[in-house]
Amino acid sequence: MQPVDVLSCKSLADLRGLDTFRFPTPWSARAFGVVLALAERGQFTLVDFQTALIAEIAAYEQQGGSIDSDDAYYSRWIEALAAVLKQRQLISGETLEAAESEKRAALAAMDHDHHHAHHPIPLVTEMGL
Amino acid sequence: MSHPSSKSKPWQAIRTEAIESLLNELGVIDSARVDEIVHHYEEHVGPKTGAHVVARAWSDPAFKQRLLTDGLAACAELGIGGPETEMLHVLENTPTVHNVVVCTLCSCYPWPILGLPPAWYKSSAYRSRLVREPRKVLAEMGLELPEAVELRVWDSVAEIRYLVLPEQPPATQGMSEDALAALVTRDAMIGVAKVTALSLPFADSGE
Repeated sequence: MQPVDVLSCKSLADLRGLDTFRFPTPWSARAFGVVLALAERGQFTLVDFQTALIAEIAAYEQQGGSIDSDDAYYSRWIEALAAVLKQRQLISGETLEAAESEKRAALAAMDHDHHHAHHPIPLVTEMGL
Repeated sequence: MSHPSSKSKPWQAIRTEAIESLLNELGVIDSARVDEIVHHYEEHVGPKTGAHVVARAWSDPAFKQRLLTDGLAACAELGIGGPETEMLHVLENTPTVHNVVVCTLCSCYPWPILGLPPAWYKSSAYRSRLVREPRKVLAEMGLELPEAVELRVWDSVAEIRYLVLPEQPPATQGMSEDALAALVTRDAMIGVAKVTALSLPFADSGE
């Protein structure tokens, strides 16, 4: 899918390039699935979630943001999910922040290992003539 | 496959992973169920379902009547339904009335029948402009409606979802339901296009 900047679109015809039948990113698929799984378990209703999503989209647009891509949309989805989880006292803002920091640290460590893996040092080097 | 880099990993991915891990730890979700839900929506739910409903309505006047009276009950006859739709109102397009659907506040959409909403449906541009200048927006999207045609814009809300029943092209009378369903596009069921006898099948049909 081609990212399109809606603000620069001359007409809505350009927007049709944004058609999608798939989740645009792995994280948007997970965020979608998590919301439905929680609703299925009765942690909140889809209407509760929708109320939060409407609030996030409205706040974003009031601040001059534009939902101009799937990423922009699903980012609001994630914010709405975090808001509902906080509201339902399932995950506090602090807990989420701490878990995110942990993920980032783990990724940074992985990057570090990865770096070494890509630049292996020979155990022995015998200089040729 | 290489490990994802934290530098290239978007914040949305990190936040989503953090949320999912915490919820798993709390025991309120099961990641295997999340996998199943995602797979279901990606593989089994899509506009072909809605196209099947439309084709049946075109072929079976009694079904069409039931569909217009109670969309959800009629879809249930075909084994179609899901968590997202509490009330489905089917809007019939005619030579004199054209219906088009928007969700001005977010992205309400009949998921079980049309699959995931396209990005343009969720865009700020479509949501704000369709209400202000519907005829112009439709023209920009390739649908020129004669001035004489009455245009009705429906705003989806949590409790009610809309499905447009497009007009059947006259040249398709007598075609089989499967052949008819292949002509019905998602855009026609949102109301931003018409069905033509030459419509291409779904873009996602040839995986």
